[in-house]
Amino acid sequence: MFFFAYDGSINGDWVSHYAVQLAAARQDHRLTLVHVRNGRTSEATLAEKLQRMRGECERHGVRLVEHLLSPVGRSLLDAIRSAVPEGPEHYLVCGTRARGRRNGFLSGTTSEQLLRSGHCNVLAVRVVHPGLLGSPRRLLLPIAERAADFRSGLPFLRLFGPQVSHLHIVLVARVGRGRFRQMSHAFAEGLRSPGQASCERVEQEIVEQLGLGSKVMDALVIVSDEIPREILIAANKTRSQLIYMGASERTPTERFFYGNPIEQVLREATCDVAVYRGIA
Amino acid sequence: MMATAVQIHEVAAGDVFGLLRSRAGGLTTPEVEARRAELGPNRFQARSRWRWLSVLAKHFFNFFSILLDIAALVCFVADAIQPGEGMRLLGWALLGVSVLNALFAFAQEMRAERAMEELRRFLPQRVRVRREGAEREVLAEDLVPGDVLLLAEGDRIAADARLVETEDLLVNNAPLTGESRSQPLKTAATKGRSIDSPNLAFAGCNVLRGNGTAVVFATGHRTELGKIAALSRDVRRPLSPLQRETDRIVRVLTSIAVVMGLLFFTFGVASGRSLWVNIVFMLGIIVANVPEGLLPTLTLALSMASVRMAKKQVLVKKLEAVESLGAIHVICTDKTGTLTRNELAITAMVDPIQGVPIQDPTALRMLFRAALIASEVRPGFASDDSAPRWSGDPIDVALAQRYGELFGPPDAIMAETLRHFPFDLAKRREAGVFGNGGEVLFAIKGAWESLRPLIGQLQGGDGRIVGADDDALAGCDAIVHRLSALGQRVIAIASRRLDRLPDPKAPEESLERGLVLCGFLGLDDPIREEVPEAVARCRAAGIRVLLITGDHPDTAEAVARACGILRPDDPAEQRVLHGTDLERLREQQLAERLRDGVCVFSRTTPEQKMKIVAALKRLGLIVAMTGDGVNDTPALMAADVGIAMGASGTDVAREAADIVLLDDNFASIAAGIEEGRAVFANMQKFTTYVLASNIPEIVPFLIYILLPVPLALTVIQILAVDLGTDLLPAIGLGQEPPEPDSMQRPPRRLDERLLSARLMVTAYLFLGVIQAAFSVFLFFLVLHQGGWHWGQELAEGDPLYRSATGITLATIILMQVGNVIGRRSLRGSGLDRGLLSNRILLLGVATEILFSWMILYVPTVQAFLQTGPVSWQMYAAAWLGIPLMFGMDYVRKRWVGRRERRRPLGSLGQPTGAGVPGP
Repeated sequence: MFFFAYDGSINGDWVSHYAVQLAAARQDHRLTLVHVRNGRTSEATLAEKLQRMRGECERHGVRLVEHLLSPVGRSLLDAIRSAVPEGPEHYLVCGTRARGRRNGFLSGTTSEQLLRSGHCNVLAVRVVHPGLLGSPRRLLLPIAERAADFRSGLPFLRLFGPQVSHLHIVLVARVGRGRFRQMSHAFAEGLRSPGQASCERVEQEIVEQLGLGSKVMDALVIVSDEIPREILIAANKTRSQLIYMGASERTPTERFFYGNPIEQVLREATCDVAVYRGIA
Repeated sequence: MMATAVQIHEVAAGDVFGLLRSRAGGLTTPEVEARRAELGPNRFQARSRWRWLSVLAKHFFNFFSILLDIAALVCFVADAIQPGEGMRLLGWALLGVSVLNALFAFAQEMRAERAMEELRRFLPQRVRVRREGAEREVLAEDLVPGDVLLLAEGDRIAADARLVETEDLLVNNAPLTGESRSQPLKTAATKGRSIDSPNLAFAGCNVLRGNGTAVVFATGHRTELGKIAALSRDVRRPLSPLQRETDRIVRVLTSIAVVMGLLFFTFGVASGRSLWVNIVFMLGIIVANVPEGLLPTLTLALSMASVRMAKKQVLVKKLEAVESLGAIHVICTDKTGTLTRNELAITAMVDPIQGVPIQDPTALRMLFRAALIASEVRPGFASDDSAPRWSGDPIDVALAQRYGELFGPPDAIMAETLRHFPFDLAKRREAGVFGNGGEVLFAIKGAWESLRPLIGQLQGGDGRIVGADDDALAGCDAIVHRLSALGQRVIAIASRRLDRLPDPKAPEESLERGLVLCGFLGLDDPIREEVPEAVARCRAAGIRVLLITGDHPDTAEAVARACGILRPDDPAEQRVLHGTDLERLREQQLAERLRDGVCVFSRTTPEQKMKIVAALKRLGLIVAMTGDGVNDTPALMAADVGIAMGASGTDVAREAADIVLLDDNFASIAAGIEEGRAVFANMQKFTTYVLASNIPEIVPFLIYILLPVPLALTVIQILAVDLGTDLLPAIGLGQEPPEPDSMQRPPRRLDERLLSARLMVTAYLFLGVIQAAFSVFLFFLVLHQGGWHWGQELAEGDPLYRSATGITLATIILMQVGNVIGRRSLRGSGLDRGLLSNRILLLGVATEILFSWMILYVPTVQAFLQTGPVSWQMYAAAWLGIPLMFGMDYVRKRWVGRRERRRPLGSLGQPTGAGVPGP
């Protein structure tokens, strides 16, 4: 089943485009909206927003099921988990935090908890370009040097698949700042080779699993000391409309030294960003 | 499957409000606030406003600065412990050098921020919107997605927006597309890329005519212009070759200095000398080893080279670019204005049936009249009494001028052109309707590919009309191919007689049928006379020239051949790459195509320049890229040397570039390369010169600590050489003109060092040792003649000691005269470069000579440097150091030259380090 955790915010409205588009890509064409009434959105406003969403679902041939929950002493996370069944066959789309300047867009949010919970396949989306209407055609897929990590992104990528015209895979091989400043071309090429092999394996797997043609894909290995910055540059260079990245597995120590790349990308991206964690 | 995946330009205008969660009456104030809280203000995100602090800190705390600062601190401490030793002055001098270097580097780095400032100017201050049902003017920064934006003639668009109402709306998208022609905007849904969509208005673009209402869907750095700004801000450029070299020099020399200083400090402590003496030794060793004047000299050499380049129409904005230009392997150049004059002239008027020039005046007049009806030119003001000027698109201006030459002023045609359909970028054609009493004519002009499907008949130069069957159209294809292959831009002209004036609201499409092809016009943009020679010079210098243009492949090929970028025998299919093929290629594949010899890119977009730069860099090449538009900015920033056009370029491109060509002329780049190469060679010369004097500065300390003898040179005397007498001759060496064969050699190898092992051996182990031996010899000679005996200690104020240190210092300075003459030529004696050809160097030599005398005989200088006089015979002996230094250096050069000539030829050929075949 396909679920959309809707918070009633404007970002939630924009994320709803993604939820509708992705639900339309599924066989059952069914979208279950989960909203926990929190008092921040008035009933009248909520009704107007839901009406618009119904209209959009109708246009895409999607059946909208609405679960409007009342808070009954449980946390928001518990409320959503109780409404969304557990398992790899279930999908949940949610938004990121608004006003994320100080706290971060994902850190400490219910969306982050949902991503970490492994409850089902979760996608947290930050929309900065509402004009895309949830239909990005050019995707940037940053992958880690552990190529296997990207597999948890396959369930949602499969749903994006039909509309994708370009899938740019990017792998950033990290080096220290001093080394980066002084490294020779030959040294950088040496670091690129294993990354290139990883990218090829990922491409092969995407071709086999999702049936995306190899002509749609492009792979780039970048040697750099700043992973988030390179992701942002790559997104701009490739004119990507969505950065599709995996939830960070960094330890607190790594975060202390290198920062949280997801937050940096969410903060500065010039296109939409979707953070996935699949369990399929 | 997702049935109807659409984006905002692909939906009907009526659905736009709902999808963007807006309404015709506009957003409410709470909605605006919620959206602003979500996405922030509508402005380009600059780097942190405190970034200048981190940049400043970076330059103040680099290795070299820290070393100088510590040395200065030790001097101040030493002065506090034991005043009157001149340590305070030394401390201030070291601190001054450190601060000046840091401030200069800071100022250089902060220049990069200016491109962002220029981009910000593309957004207006205030805009008109509809909110809560009422029109109002708000700050452009306050715009949010969903806002209803009202556009009128003369407005600059503040955000990316989807049009829902238009009335004769015409915009100029040049900042984004580089296309100077205006674009009509409509509200109908379209397919394809959003950037090409005629129902979207983009931030930074101008409304030329009409009105419109649009709903904002992207703000700030999420707009198309904002993405260019973000990429220009974020794109990372590796250190320039010179930055790498200076970093390395600083690292190597300071490491040597610190290690030696610490070693002798430890040795001194172990041998039981006092802490104060050991500190002085350590400082002396460090100060003697660090060439304090080298970095300022380097900066000055670059500054003066940039002044010379400015005289050759090359304005240098970033000093390191002077040297980078000398190191480049590839130049990626535009065509129009850079290789050509950007002066379109009509050189062919061709009959579409027979393919021959149209001779008949009536047919010619009809052809030009149709072309002018489909043009938009305005009368301009002539600067003199010559032919009237026109303003507008260059093609239209060329048409009006030629018509004027052939048939007189075209004002009547302009006046009677009742309707104009502006150039449609997607369709690549424009049209107009002419009405003159009973005659009504619809005329259209554009690319042949664009008009071909609309043609029903062909009209020959003799008035004959034939049907547009397959053979006739194939004949036209051949004509277009032939003209393009001559490097001409070809436009087709067609017309249709109408019974009456069409409805003013009739769409252009309703008139585009049954057209009669009147003929083809070939326009030529002549190649600048000096370009083929400049390309040949680059070729001889091992530099590849790539042509990147939006033109047709045949035109691009013809221009490339005429300029010498393509050789006559180069097959076009292997050397010319079309933009659509480029789009499909991966970076690695493009790198391979470049390695295989592709050197012309046709039908490219400015964004593709970035891809070409990245692929060239994958091959390990140093790349120079030219550009003039706003959308060229990221590529200019990504290249090792970004070159903007001074005459035709935008302010943004000029600010983003390292170098500005004041005359937009490719030949100026070639002149700049020669200057850049000379700079590197000159740097090697003055680095050798400066380092040579380090050894006679170090040796006295070594002797002093190992043997029971007085110190032959004090720290303040060392600084007098490093920051005093050495500076002017070193700057003079930086002014040496290029070696005659500098443009006949390939670019220097990527692994070729400024501070190479060979240079260090020459400076330290040959020139330095000679200087040290002779200066120390004279030191002991003075002592010996003054009655000093082995092991005798002399007080610092002892006249004999002061005379002895004076002659040491004078000898070093005089021997540097011999050194500087020898340094002028890598292989020759140095005298062969002309004695009076370098005035700064001459002044430097005169200063050295004068100073060598003042040290010994002028009381104020004696007092400052703690020196004393010697006999004239002894001073004359010091002069022998000049021929000694010069002569031995010349013998060394002859010996090295002979050895190199004996080497097998293969070992002399230096690979460029490039993965591409030489041109």
